[in-house]
Amino acid sequence: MTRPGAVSADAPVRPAGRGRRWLDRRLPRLLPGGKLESLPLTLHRHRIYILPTRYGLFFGVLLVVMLLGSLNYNNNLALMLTFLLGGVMLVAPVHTYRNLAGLRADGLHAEPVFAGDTARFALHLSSAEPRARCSVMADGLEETARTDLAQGGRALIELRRTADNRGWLYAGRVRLHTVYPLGLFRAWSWLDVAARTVVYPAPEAARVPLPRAPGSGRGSRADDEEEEFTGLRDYRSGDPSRLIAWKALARTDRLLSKMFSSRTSETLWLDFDRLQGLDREARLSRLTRWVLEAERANVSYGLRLPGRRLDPGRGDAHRRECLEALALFPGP
Amino acid sequence: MKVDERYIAPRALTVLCAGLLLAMAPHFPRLPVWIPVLALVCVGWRLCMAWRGWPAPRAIVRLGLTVAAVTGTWAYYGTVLGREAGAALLVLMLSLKLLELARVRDAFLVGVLSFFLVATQFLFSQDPALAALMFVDVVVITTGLALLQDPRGNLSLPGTTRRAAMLLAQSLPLMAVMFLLFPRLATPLWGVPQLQDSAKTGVSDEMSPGSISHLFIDDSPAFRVVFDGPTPPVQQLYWRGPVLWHYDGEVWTRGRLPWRRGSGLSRADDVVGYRIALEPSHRHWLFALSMPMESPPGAVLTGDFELVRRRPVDELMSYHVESALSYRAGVPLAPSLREAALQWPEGYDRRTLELGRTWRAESDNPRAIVDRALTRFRQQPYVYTLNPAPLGRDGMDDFLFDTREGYCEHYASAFVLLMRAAGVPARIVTGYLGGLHNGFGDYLLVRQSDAHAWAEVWLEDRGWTMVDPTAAVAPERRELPGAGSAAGDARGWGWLGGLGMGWDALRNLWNRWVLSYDSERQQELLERLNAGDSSWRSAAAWLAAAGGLALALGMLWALAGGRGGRRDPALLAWRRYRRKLARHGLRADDTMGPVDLGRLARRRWPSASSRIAQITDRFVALRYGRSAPPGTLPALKRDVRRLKLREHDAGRTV
Repeated sequence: MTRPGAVSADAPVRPAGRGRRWLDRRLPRLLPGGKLESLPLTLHRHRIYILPTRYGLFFGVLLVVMLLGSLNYNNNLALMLTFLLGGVMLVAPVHTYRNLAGLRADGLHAEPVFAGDTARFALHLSSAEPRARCSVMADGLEETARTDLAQGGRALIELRRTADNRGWLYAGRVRLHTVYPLGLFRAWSWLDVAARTVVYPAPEAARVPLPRAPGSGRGSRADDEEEEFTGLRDYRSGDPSRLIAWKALARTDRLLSKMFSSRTSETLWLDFDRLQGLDREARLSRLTRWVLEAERANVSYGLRLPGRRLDPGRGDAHRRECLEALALFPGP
Repeated sequence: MKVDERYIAPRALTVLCAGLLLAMAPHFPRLPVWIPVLALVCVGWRLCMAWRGWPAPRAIVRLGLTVAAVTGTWAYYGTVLGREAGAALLVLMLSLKLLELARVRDAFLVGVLSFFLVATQFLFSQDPALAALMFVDVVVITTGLALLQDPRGNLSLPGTTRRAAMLLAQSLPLMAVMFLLFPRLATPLWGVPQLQDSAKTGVSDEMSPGSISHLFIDDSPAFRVVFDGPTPPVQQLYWRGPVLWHYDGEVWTRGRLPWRRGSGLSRADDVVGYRIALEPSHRHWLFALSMPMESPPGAVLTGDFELVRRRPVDELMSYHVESALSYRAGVPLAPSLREAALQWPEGYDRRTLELGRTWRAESDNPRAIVDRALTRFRQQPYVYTLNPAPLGRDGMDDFLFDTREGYCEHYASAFVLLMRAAGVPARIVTGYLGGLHNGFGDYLLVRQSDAHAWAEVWLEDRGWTMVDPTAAVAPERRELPGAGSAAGDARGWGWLGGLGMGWDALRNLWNRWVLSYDSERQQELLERLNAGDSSWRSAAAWLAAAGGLALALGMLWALAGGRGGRRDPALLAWRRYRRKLARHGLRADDTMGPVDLGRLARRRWPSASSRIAQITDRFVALRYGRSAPPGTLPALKRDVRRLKLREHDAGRTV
């Protein structure tokens, strides 16, 4: 996977030409890039399209073969069967259409995720009409999920999407479609929904000890808090030299850093600018890791970013606020 | 799509297998026994794979089976093409396909090709029972295809079957319209292969005494006739088939006369028109009353007034003919024909020859000679029986002078020989006599058991004249149609006969509207619809009109239900409640919400206050709540029903 990179751009909005405007009027939502809509919305005939599937085309070809054969042999029963199946071919799209028409998309939400994880957009569906629906599928960019709705029931379709980059992740176009009952026709309808979720920067993989409070040396820190030695880990660039476990180096020939944790009410400042020697994304990554660690250690922490300052605090809301600030930190 | 492509629900597969078996079953009796066995094994194995997790046979086994199947078919039929071998191969390949069926696509293919297999049945038989089975097949296969779209198994089997039946029911009118109006081919696009092995039925162009007798026990229909006008008397219902000139001492054949096209009748009166629906006989003969005046399309009228079709009658065919019941035909008689009509099998039947010559010597009048022969049959102890004593080398001698028992072939044959011996040109005509009138369908049913042979003699003043010597012996053979048949006549059948006639009437309707509906009948229909214009343009117009109507209905249905709230039972109960209030004087604006309305109503009818409050709460819970507890809806309905609004309350408070 590529390293978590730049912030996702906003959903594209292209200026519409005349032809495009005409098409959007005639065949709304056929092409991507239309105005974003808000949920709930009900699928109706203006936005449902239907075409034969591969199976439908194959079936059609077979019917033509059967038609020619039975006409040639003047075999009226074979002809009757052909016409019966031809009738099915004509009636089936109406069933397929009705399976989708009147379906209501009530909402599309996803919980925030870290970059590199998979975002799960939950599409809530219900039926605006008292009619059962079978095998309604929804697909985003990567996969298709399907569901059934009992008469008047509700359903939820989960659309997974990999969150590559921090920033906003848009659900993008979602296609609701169905081939029920026979798979001969596919009726579909595009949803251009302004649903998005925030993607936090991927936390740095390794645990990095939390930074000390600004201006306090090791000695002064020991005065007002207890610090507990929790273990050793591989040295990495940027670790202060005082954390290096010299004794261990003498013993094992490996450069190790000591790790401590504190169980105090000390206020930590997580500061973007103090992380020298790392590029922007790496800093955001480490800050994210620290936010998580601080939250776990139940330490009150504040976040300082260029142009933004979040006052110290703790708890879910604070954590979310910090992570969001990191996620939406302006890119290059 | 990708997520589901590999998963075939076992239930869908089972239903598809059932559909495949139903489609294969009518083929089974025709196939060598190893094919049905292999097919059943394949289906069974595949079902065990689906339900019990049996492994799929290895690729090498499947390949081996496929090669064996093709080789076996080749060995049995000598070909892999053609109707029989093709059907066998299709059955085999679909069965073997089951074993390697791994994707939804394959299952779909098997389902759709099962439809094709159903169509191939009709190359062998177009029985109404098969047609009924066809609808069952289509419902089952369609159900299977629908279940294939449901990998999660949420659909109920009865519900899906209902859906399939609904699809079918909606397709039926479309099918009927297309069937009636889709342009038919008057001539095939490519050659229709000859059906070599179909047993030919009915009257043939050879006759030896004994050859027709197998037909007498065959009560299957030969053809059905609808007369344009009244049905002629049964004495005139001689359905003319092949005319036989040449006797070699054993067998009557048409002889080696040069081909002559019909020259027409020099007198034609009592013309009757009628339409015949001829069952497939796989022969070239068409039948008509003596004498047909013109040939129907696709057939020719020979000099002997036979109707011969260019292609054999392999499917039910229907044609219209006009016949003259009084006529003068074959005048004058060409010398070569006179010679052929006096032909004698050299060295056979000497006593018959002797008798004829004696008659000739005693009388010069051919009519007198004919009468003499008939009188002989009538007065001497000749017996009409379907089980005559066997005859020797000189068959006609034995029959005329010794055994004196036989049926139409014996009498016609002996009569013609006597005439020839006496110098009167004569020939044999084979065909059918009479027919059963079917009151249900108002048509005449002619069965194979009505097969008959009679004679024609050539008289100077009348030309070819029909004489039925059998009638001299057994008049009832003619007067009671079907008396010669083993099954007896319709009168003897009792209620069973009535049932038989009803069934045959159904068969006739089936034949008329389904099997023999062809380009000609289509033209008739269009003429009736369009007052004369029967061009393809009008067919297209009707087809388009009917299609447009169907489309419009489909659209209406598709778009219906937009205001689905109408069917919400809670809303219906609520409307009842509002009407009740309105009847008692509380007319509220439509925009007023339920809570406000309830407040108004409670103020107005304090005695019903608690019930009104309940109604309001329940309706709000049902309509707007997340989920109402079960039983809320019936309670709401009950409350609305029981709500009593007293007028004096209203007077007091408002």
